[in-house]
Amino acid sequence: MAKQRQSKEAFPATQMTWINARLDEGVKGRRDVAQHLMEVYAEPLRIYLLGSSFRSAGEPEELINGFFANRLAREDYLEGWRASEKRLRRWLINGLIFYIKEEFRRQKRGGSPLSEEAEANLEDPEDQYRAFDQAWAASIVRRAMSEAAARCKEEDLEAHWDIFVRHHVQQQPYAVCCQDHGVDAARAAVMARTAATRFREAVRDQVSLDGADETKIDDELAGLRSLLQ
Amino acid sequence: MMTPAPTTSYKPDPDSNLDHSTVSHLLGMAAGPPVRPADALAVRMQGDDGQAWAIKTLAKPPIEDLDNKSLLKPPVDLETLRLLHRMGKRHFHDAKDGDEQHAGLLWYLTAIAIAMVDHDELLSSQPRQEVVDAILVVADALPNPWRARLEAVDT
Repeated sequence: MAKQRQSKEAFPATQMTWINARLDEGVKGRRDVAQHLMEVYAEPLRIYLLGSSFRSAGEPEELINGFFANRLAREDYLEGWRASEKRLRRWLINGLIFYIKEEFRRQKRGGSPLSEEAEANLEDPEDQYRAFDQAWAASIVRRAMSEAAARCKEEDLEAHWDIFVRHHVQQQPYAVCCQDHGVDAARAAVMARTAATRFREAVRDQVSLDGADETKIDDELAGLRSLLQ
Repeated sequence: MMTPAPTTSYKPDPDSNLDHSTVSHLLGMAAGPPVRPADALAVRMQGDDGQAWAIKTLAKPPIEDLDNKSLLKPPVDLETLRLLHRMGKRHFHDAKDGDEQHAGLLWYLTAIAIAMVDHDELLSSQPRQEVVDAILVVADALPNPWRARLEAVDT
């Protein structure tokens, strides 16, 4: 018990605040957390499965849907994660592997086991963590873009966000993307800078939600970037 | 006790075509603290209590007896703006914590912006475009009518 309390306190405030607030809401809050997990982690998990020996276990989408439905229906599943001090993405990968192995055992008992060859190949493919982390990086960037776009809309900064996307994602020069907004290139650069601050906070929130300590977020971002080189 | 299983099924994102280079570039934008003080001030005003903090700060100019509403009615007296500029600068440098520093910068930039708009006078020794950029970054994070007042440097 003491260990569990200590582990929970070790989590950064922003992550604890959001997760705790949702979990304290009961069923609805857990649905919000589940929604977040599916939106951010499903695609990286799918890519992980496709590159691993587990790809023979079934359709990745079905396995992932089954995994989320099974594990997230358990009230104590995220409590286990918080006590573990693991990053959320590692917790979910391990959970997915355990889930697939459980499914194998269940199929065996039910008389429709996997082939011996497929079962013999089941292992935890460490090298696939790289592909998973690359996919997770893209996933949190997409999520952060979605949140930053919504934030900009709320603040009447939609033009700022549009210029940010055109310049930083579509690689248009400011001199081009400013034209639809009736501003010059210099103003467009400042508008993108404003949108970038919203995006920056959204990315850092996503990394924090994965369980990274506030002081380690820059290290985490640097690690992810090195994986993308 | 079991909670109901989530009903939302996983669906691949149709817009998931960000290449590694773009993802890396975007993650790089999120790394490190905002280096420029104006960016840090803008981030402060985007926080949970940021707008309330901005309104509270702008309600109390660092000049005794100066009504903040008078700053929203052009033209503001240029000597008042020069004093506001000096006081903001002093508060920025003498600040004991981050919020005091942010407040000093907010008044410093506000004074410069209003002097530019009302009198076409640049109170700062910094290059004009650099100052305008900083003002606009801060303006974008301000509530109206202050946002509109500072944004006018761009017209």
